[in-house]
Amino acid sequence: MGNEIEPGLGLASVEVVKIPVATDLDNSNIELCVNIVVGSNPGPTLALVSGLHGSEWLATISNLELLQRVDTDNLSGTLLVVPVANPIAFASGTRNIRDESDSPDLNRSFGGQQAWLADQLATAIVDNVLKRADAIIDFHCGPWGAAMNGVASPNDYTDPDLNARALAMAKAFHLPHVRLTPMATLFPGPRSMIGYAGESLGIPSIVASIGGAGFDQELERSWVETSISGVFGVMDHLGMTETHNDQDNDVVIVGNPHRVNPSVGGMIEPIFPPEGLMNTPISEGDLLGRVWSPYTFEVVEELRAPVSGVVGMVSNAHPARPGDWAYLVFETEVR
Amino acid sequence: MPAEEAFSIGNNTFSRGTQNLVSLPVTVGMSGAPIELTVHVTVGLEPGPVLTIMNTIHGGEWYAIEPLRRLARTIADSPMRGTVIILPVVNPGAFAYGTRNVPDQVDSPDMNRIFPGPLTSTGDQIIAIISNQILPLSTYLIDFHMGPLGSAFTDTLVGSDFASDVSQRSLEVALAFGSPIIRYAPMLGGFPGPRSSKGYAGGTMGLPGFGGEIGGAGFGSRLDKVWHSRTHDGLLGVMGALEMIDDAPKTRPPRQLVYKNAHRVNPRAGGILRSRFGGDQLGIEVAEDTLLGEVVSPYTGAVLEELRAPVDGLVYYVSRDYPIYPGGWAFGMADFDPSSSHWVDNE
Repeated sequence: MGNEIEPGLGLASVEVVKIPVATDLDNSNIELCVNIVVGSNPGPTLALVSGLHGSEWLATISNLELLQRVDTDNLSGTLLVVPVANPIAFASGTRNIRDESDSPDLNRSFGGQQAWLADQLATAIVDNVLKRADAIIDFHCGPWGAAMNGVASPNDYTDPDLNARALAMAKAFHLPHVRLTPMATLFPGPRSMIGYAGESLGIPSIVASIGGAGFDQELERSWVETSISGVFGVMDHLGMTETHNDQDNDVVIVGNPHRVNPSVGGMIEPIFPPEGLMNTPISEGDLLGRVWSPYTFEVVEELRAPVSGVVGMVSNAHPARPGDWAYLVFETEVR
Repeated sequence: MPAEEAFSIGNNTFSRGTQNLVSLPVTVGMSGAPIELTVHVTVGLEPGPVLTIMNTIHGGEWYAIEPLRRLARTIADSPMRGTVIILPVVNPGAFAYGTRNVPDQVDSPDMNRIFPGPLTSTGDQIIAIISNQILPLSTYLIDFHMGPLGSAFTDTLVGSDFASDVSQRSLEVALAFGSPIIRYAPMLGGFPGPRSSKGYAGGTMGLPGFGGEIGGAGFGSRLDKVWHSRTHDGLLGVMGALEMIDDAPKTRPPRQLVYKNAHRVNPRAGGILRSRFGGDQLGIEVAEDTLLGEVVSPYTGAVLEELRAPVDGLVYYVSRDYPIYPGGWAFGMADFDPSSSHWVDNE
């Protein structure tokens, strides 16, 4: 990276480094912007990466606010914060970069060898951020109209110790549920950042999916605070901070999500309230929402829970294309 | 036409006391699917005005669909004089993508700048149907343009440079709609111009009406309820003023500002808008130089730009925190200087 900073020399600081990635067709210089927060004391390096998908920007806001709250005098180690990992998709407000790539999703491009912008961005993230980290949190959230409130940990890294360390991080986020799923091999897979970081780099990683956009402002604010509090919980766990944000809570382990997304385009009419996200149990068959045609005004589809559990993604009233994000249901088991 | 067939659009005829759904064929799109214009036609038991309500001529401005759906239900079984024509999605191609305009390569992309639709683009063909088959049947036109995701408006646009009786009747129905803020300004010689829906309807066809903007998308269900109710009730207020229904709800606030000069306070820099005036502050009074919001870098958090009120006035559009382009919708000020505005007292 351009400015090498040695942590632990009493040189607490916050630096912004812009790493050149590529020149796009509009003559813009694509850069990866990394905020480096060096604590007063030595310690591990935690990478916080949000915005791999351009439409998931509430997490960007959460991490920008986190940056304002970190006290370098009471930080041991280093934070590498990338608020917007995919500036091109962020600029277009879309999940993926709008090019003709045959691998458009940045979070499926890690380890890629092509020259597409997603591949080049992934390479820049790996070389300048991931390889310097001891632990990684990958932030996602709902785009306009959908919201989540959970943390996920892989259970399929080849190294069982890595799985255990990731799970410990996920529990330190202090949410009532942790999703334990084969993230490295199945979804999102080996070419996701979390899959690649664990399997190829041996770095424990978790996914925090907190919040979404288009909801009551108080609710969105609560998600931002949840995200920030969760990060401080992980930093406490790693020995980077001592906020004592370590309230004990029983963590319910949940399994693979069941998507309940519309199969037809239309307007989502939410029935399940967003305040029930991840805390209100539901039964198989419960009505989560409806889809109605903005042309005929008639209901064209009902969205019902396929299993009993908790709702891991909620929706507000918004237009949705077939397959667009509406609801997720997790089956629950207590451990 | 037999007495029981009270209304027709194209080859479609409708009887008194019925609610009808019609799909007017437009063309075939690149996917092979037919492109159609969906129209709801509610014909009252007795003759009367024909109120046409359009929505989503810009794909991101869909927000009024819900109150229009409610209006259709409200008037379905109610005694009514005249006819209500609702076009909930004028621009399905842009709506599907959530974009303002259809993402094709035509040189007339904005459907609200191409009336009467003389060319053969998808947009032109849709506008031609509206111009040739629907507007000639209408006696009043309301065209909704609610805020796209992240911005919310409380404003009603009325053209002051139509024929004097058209402008006057337009203002009267806008007041009946109940918007607290009404822009009465040159539309043919100003915004949005003679080839907009309202500009063409009012200037070329002598059709009174207004552009309506109550609320916007992305502010959550609490404000959705408020804004959707205002739009629904406002439309009933218009119908009451036109004597299409009896017992219309009281829609007019204690006073309404009729103003001429609007000031956009939109950023020059792209970034994340940190708003200090959100949905609950829509329509409030602010002093010149009040800090309305800031644009911060999504990469570093640094403040890139401050957005300040250029005049004393009412904030007629606001925004929430969201990513914003250069020129994106942030804040709008209605100048209430007495030299160019006046208040209408309703009490």
